[in-house]
Amino acid sequence: MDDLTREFILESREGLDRMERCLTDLETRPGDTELLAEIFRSVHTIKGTTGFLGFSRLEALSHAGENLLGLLRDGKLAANPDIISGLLALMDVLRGVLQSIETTGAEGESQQADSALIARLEELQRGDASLAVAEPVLAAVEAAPSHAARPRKPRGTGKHISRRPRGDHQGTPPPNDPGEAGPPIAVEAAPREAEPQPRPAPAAVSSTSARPATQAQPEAPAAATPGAADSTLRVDVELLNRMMNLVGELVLTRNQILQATSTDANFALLGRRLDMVTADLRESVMKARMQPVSHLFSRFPRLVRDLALALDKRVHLEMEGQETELDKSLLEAIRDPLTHSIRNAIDHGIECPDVRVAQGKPAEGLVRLRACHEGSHVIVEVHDDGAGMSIERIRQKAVERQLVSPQRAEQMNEREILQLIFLPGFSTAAAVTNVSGRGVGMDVVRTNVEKIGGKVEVDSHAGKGTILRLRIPLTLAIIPALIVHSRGQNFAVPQASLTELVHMSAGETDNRIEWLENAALYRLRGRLLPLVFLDRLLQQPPRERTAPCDIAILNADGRRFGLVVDGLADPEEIVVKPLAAVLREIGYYAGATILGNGEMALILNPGSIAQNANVTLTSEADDGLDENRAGRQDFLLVETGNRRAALPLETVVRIERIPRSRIERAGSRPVLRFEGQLLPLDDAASELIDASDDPEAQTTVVVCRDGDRQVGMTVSQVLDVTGGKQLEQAGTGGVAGGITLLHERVTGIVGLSGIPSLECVAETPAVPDFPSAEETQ
Amino acid sequence: MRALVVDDSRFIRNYLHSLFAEHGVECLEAADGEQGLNCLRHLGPFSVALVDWNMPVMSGFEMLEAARADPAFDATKIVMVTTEAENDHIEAALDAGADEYLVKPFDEAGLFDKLRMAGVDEP
Repeated sequence: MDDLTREFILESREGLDRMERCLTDLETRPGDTELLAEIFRSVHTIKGTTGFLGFSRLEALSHAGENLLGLLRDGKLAANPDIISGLLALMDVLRGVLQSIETTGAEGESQQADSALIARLEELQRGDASLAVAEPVLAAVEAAPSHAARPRKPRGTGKHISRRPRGDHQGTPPPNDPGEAGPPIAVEAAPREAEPQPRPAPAAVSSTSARPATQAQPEAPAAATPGAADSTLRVDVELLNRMMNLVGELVLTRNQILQATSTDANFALLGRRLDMVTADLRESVMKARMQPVSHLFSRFPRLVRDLALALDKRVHLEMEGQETELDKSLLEAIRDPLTHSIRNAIDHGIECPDVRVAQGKPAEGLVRLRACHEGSHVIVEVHDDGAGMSIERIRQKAVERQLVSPQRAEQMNEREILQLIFLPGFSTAAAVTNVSGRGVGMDVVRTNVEKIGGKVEVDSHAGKGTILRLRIPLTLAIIPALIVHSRGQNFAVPQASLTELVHMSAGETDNRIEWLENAALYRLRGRLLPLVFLDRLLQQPPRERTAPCDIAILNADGRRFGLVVDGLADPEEIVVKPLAAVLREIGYYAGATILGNGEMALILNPGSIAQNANVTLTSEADDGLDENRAGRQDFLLVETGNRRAALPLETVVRIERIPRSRIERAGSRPVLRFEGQLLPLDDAASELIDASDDPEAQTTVVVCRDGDRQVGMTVSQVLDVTGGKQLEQAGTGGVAGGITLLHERVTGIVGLSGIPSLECVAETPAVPDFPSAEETQ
Repeated sequence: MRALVVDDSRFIRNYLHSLFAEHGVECLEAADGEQGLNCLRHLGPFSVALVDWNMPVMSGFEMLEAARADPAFDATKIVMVTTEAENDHIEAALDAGADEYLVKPFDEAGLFDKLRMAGVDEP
């Protein structure tokens, strides 16, 4: 046997194996066009090659199969168990013939059995005669114009068709003899016994004429895509994950080197360079994992269209920022929350056309999807110009569902009321529709987004519309975390769920922790907070009752609690490593990491700790109302020099003890090196003026967010976090940021905007806009 | 003369390869339309591409359209390889810029006849 024949047998067998797998799949997915195309191709290839080798028996058999499969592939016939068994029988016979060729070199003779099988396949082609006629006739009519404009070449003389001048086409009369135009299958596939063909002619016409028409459509867009392939490369996601892993290792090594070399000036320089290169590399690898949100957005036009139709509404979808990129895994993670938000916008937001017209709005509602970058986050907004949410109605529902008490509900402001929609079990839909479904509410959207370290915000105006804003981190692989100690072991707490820290010195613990039966509680600014002792939770040897400790106040999936630990270490950027299954099953851990000092730390999963410790869900309402805080704000109370000053807590990024060596000078102004950036530093506490040159001396710096930038401020001491009402707006009291009443004392609020940016630092020896108002009794 | 054979059947690729080899023609192979396009782009120039109609990933017709949309391949003759059942596609292929077509099964003489008709230079 020659090589070509051997190749033919091998390839045909592979094709038949593929066909067998696909046929079994076809039973469960009879309409799957991919499967049908694959099966068709297997038989088609056999048929196409038999001619070269002169295997006529194989050719006749595969030809009959190809015809049947062609009808299935083109949707003119639906697969049913009969057809599938017929094709399986064909497969067996083809295998038999291949076997015969391999052993004897010839196809063998089995004329009668072949004829019977071919006749059976023919019969199956006719299948549902009634169905097969009705549809193709339509197709033939539709295809007629294009078909008529083009002269049909004489059939069966393929070898001599040559290209004719294009101008010729118009002059040639259109073919209109359906019998003549019939597909090859109609004539050639006739069984040898030549029984009369009862098949109706129209079906025959359509199967050829409709095919080019249906194929031409999907081909056009597909042909346009390869252009982009030139400058891109497909990379296995596995490989990317591995690269990310390695970069993670590099980040860890860098952290260790930075710690180890911080004392040596030469090494410090090298370390800084390594720091920069690592940061760049990390960013590049992360970028490789990015995909534009258009991958996700592209499915929404269809969704919007279907929903609008189902609800008898008219909706126009606008999409912006489709090129915005997001880590592939995060893109997957926001698919459901986003889909749900869009459903909500159309189901509950956009009104019916007549209602809209009556309100003077265009009949067609607008849903706008927008994606953009904001710092290290991606913002995805779903904006509708529908009815908006009625504050009163939310208030009412929340009371009805006993999510808040009537008294509380009365005291809440609009913003707080809007937050209620994220509570589990809340739904304002007047009736449960089949679009938004039951049981899936905004709480699920929030939970899903928070799971990936994101946030959901809502803004709504009755009559004008609603904006839902998802704030998504760029990546999951490296996260900022606070390292805590418990009984000599390190644990990492993701910063995303950390809200504040409370330190208790020795002796304080007994007084300030309250016990209610077996549950420990801590009174934080008048509000009782459940406490979870990490040592007890993990069954570590218990600490002494009076030993000093720290409480990390965590907020996870709407559960707020204090986690009691022995002590705190530095915040660190950690690389999340997956856990072995054994550890994963415990449920308290989200991963593991290696710290800058080379030690291991398990990453705590605040959500599951809260659940395991039976911390109940805190309604957002609880946050605000115990202290009757409507209109109140939390402030960080600090001492600068001899004065007290207040910083709005929401602007505070971090409070750190910083060695003098990390404070540098740009011109006459101090600047702070912080997370790879240079921040303008306001030496409000005059800590730096009389400072000795001792580089080991430390200064407390509060890093604040001021709009898009961050600024630092030296303070002598951090006194407290407390709530107060802003008494005067900025500018009116001679104080940049206004004044507030804290602990019954009037305190100036620091105006961060007064701290000059670095660009103008060099020129302006500006006087910091720091509150000069002495506090008064 | 350099030829590119685009066909998902190994048998056909080997067959054409051996025919070309006997005439001293360099022949490269691709197993689907997308690979075929990549070969055209990065391994060219080719005097002729023989393109099968029915292939996974990207069909021969899609590849033809993409290739003809790019003037860089104007000099490459494209010959579509079809079976008789695909006869009615031939015209669409010629309209889309194919230079010739070749119906399976074909022999050595048939192949080189078609290449000549397509205007491919002698080997």
